Amino acid sequence: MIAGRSADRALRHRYPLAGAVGLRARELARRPVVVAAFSLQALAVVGAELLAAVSAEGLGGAGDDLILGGLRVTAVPGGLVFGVLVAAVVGSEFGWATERALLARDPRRLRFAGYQLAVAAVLAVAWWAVQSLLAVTVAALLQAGGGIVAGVGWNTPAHLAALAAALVATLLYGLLGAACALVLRGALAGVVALLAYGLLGELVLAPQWAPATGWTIHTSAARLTGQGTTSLARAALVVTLAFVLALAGCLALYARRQVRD
Amino acid sequence: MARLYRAAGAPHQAGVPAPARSCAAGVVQCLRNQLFDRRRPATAAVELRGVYRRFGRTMVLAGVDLRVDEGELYGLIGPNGAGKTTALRVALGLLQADAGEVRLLGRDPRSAAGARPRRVGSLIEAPSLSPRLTGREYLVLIARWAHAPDAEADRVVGLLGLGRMTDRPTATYSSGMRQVLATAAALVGPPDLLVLDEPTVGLDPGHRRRVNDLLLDHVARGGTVLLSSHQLDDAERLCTRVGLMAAGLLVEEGPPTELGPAAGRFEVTVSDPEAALSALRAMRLICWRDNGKVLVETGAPYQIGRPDGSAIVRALASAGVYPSDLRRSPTLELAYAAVTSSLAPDPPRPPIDRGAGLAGPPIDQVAGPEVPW
Repeated sequence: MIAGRSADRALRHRYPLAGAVGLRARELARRPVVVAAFSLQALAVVGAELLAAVSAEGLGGAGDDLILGGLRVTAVPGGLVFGVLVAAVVGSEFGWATERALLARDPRRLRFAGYQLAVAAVLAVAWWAVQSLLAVTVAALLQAGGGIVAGVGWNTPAHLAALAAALVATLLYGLLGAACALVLRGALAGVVALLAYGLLGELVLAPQWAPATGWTIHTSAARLTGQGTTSLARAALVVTLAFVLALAGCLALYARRQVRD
Repeated sequence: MARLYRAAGAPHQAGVPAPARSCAAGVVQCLRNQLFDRRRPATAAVELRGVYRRFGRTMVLAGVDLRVDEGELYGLIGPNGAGKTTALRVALGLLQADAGEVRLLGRDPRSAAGARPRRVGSLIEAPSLSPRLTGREYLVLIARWAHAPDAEADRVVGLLGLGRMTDRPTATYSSGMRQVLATAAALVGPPDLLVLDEPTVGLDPGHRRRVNDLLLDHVARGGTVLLSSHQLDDAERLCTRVGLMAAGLLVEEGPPTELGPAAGRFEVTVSDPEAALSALRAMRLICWRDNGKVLVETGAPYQIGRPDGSAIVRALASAGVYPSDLRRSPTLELAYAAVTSSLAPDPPRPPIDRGAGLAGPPIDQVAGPEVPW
């Protein structure tokens, strides 16, 4: 024990892990990849709503309801984009070897994984809030002020459900991205794995086999926003199962992590 | 009893007035100290017993036994690939040993109890920094992760003299600055134990000295340092004990001045090397010429009658040769060379200009000369 150490607990951060997550979130806000992903998704949402308004063909199968359409875009394609972003930012911890510095201080793997998942969750909430707010605001402006479409106003249960579904989809894809990065220990590997599953597996291969189509995360997340024909119970089951499996699998695999790089 | 009484703080030191207490009280105090004093036999800060670790088909650690006591500054040296960094990683719990026992501050570093935020600062290989955080934010992150006050960041910034540099993102740092910041991060806590893998690589002389001074200060304040380094002069100067690793084994261990088969040699700078060699050989000393200097073998440390610097100067002066410089070569370097060359089948040796007809034996073949001093 070193002489003269100040062990004043009052000086410590009240919630050290939350404090670390806060610092990391601040760092993420400065990363070009994060800013670029937020901007691209925002452009996609705004562009899709504008095109839907101009063409009058509706968005996301929501007809004249641009708010609902915008929220659906935020949930399903947006969720996958967010998952890729999370895989990139969590994986970068391995590239910079910050994992090594933190695990050397406290080698509890689950604490480190929990820290990364908490960062991903904070980012998910920020993503969902920004994109949803943008989708709703732009849609409302287009419907109310522009006179382009005579849409449906806010405050319908469908909008609230879509908002909740967007949050669930964002969290789920974010968890999948973080899990891929944690298990594969790298940004590139994590992104490739998530894209392989999300694009190749769910959007290309699954439709080729009829029994699988109703059991994909993409279909289920879309169903939660009100799209598709599969049952809501099955969609909820698939989303829950995917969440539990991704979380348990990533924690179980990362718990045995050997830091050799 | 006299020894015990002295240990209790005998009031007989020069210039110190005797305290007003009886001899019996001193003895009682002494016995209390002996029974309850925490500074009794050193406990191990790091202990590896028969540790094996394999990567694929490569055996990186082949039964390492390493013990670093609390309050020590222990240096691990050895060639690249000797297993130093792997040993440090195993000690920290970053890697699991395939076999053997590992203790860090008395606990298994990978158990739930041993793994909680602990008083261990480390720097393993390349500095690990988040490029978008400022230096100070990075230090605060480490402090929070280690359950230390945020003010620790300011303390280590002051210790290493980092100043306003820490207000910039680490992406703008040079490699040396990143190394300094990573070293500062290791000091956050402050930790009881520092495990550092080549902490002075890439540092300018000023920061290198400052880091070395901090390590000495850390030990002086009761901390422990386990250091891996290729800077043999630093290791020799700083470390209380040095372990020489090669081929996954700790092949030698001890105080740096006593390590190795050869205790060292003197380097003598003279204006007339030939005359100096003649004078020294006349005194039956083993010596030869190397790059304009005269090297004098000193033999093993335990050898009776081994020459010291004054004897060499006397021998030279008797022949009218006066050295402009005389310094002792680092013994650690010789021990290192001896170990590494004994492991290599055909050791490459630097060419030595020993002068015509004045060749001395290679240093690792010298059996301590018997010099009658």
